[in-house]
Amino acid sequence: MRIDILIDQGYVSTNMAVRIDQVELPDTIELLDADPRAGWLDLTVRFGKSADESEIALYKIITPRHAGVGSTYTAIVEANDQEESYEVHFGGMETHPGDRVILQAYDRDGYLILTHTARPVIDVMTAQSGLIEYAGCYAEVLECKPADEYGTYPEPSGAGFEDEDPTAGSRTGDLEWTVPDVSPARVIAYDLYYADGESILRGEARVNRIGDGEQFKFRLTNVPQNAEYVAVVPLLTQNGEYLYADPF
Amino acid sequence: MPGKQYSTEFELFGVNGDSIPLNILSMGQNFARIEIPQPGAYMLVVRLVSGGVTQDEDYGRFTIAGPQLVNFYIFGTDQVIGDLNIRTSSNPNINWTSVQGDGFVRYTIEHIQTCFSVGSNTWLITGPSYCSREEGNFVAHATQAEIDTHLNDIKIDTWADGELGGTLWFYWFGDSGVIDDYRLVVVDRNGTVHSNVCMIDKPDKYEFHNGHAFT
Repeated sequence: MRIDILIDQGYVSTNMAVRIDQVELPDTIELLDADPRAGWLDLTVRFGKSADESEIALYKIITPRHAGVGSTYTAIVEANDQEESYEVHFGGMETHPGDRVILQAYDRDGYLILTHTARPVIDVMTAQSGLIEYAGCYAEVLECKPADEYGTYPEPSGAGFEDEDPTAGSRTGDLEWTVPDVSPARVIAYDLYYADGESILRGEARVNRIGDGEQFKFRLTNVPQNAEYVAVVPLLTQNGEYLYADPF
Repeated sequence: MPGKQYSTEFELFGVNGDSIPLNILSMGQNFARIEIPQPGAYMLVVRLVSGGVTQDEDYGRFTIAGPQLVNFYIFGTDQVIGDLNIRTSSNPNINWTSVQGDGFVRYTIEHIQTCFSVGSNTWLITGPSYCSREEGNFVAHATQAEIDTHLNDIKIDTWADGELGGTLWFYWFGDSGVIDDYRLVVVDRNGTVHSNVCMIDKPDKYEFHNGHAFT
């Protein structure tokens, strides 16, 4: 789709154009967080080749724009035939509930391709020793985002975890449940913690969500041996405000 | 603190907690301009002091970025634009290096974060606002047309059964006085116009809504 201008000589095409036809973007995208603190990322983005790689000149990665150690939150990756996959290390930055990373592309003429893909940020928070203080500025971040209490969060149905690791004392598997309808609020993330019968052992991750999918699934690995439960704090948004619910 | 005389004290700390000498350039009732010695991560502590006693204290953390690589990907010509001029308000001619890519040339500068202007005597360079606080990489086009426009943003709200609806923002370069009209068209890869979506008046923001079908 392009905008033309009319001058004395007639219509003249401009470079104001976007690709509106379907161009496949990479479907294998990994977001890795090497910072174990809640509220902070040490972000690396990896992605594979597009099925339409020959159409693409540049990939553009857009990360959450919050204050951070660096101040550049986008990266351009030049498509090339030598690489099997691409990797960009962004380094340290803050993260907030609902954050996502967006992958866009420019075609061989330098025009932005309208289709884009997004992945939710997973904030590793294994250094979190207890429940986050949601109503305060819990992390030493530059931009404070305290949350209000949501009230009674409906018990999710179909919650389950099946240990797939045959090694004694070691547990690995998918944790999943059906996300309840909480409209007009929306669940934007789940904070996962390991707990024994009495207290929180440590945090695991903030798993952000994109869209309104009904099923939540997250793979747990290296489950602490003394963990008896996974405590889950739902994070919601309504009217632009963050809300948190009691753990289930 | 009504009725109290107070002074404001600043203390600067580095990432290791070391106190760093601070140069205060100027200070008013509710502001201060300070000089940071070099790029890095800092914590600034501000204290309100009255009668030699600290009455209140607050702090903030911030980072001063150093020079960084800024890339300009310019499409439209595979040739290096020899007279490409990248400048800031304080530096009229920033040195750049170039690498030829597939359909574009990447120009790289090393500079602190700021806003840039990009131009040439032989090419019209059209692109977004080149402010590196938000972006470290810019995609632009080189053209030798007299007039050109640049897409600022586009949002497609509905796109089903051949129906297109959304909002787009754009601006133009050159002498807009010679432009009589704009039209939005759908073209194929060869540049052939297949559908005249709509005419556009000459505002810098244009909204188009449901019902502009294209195939």
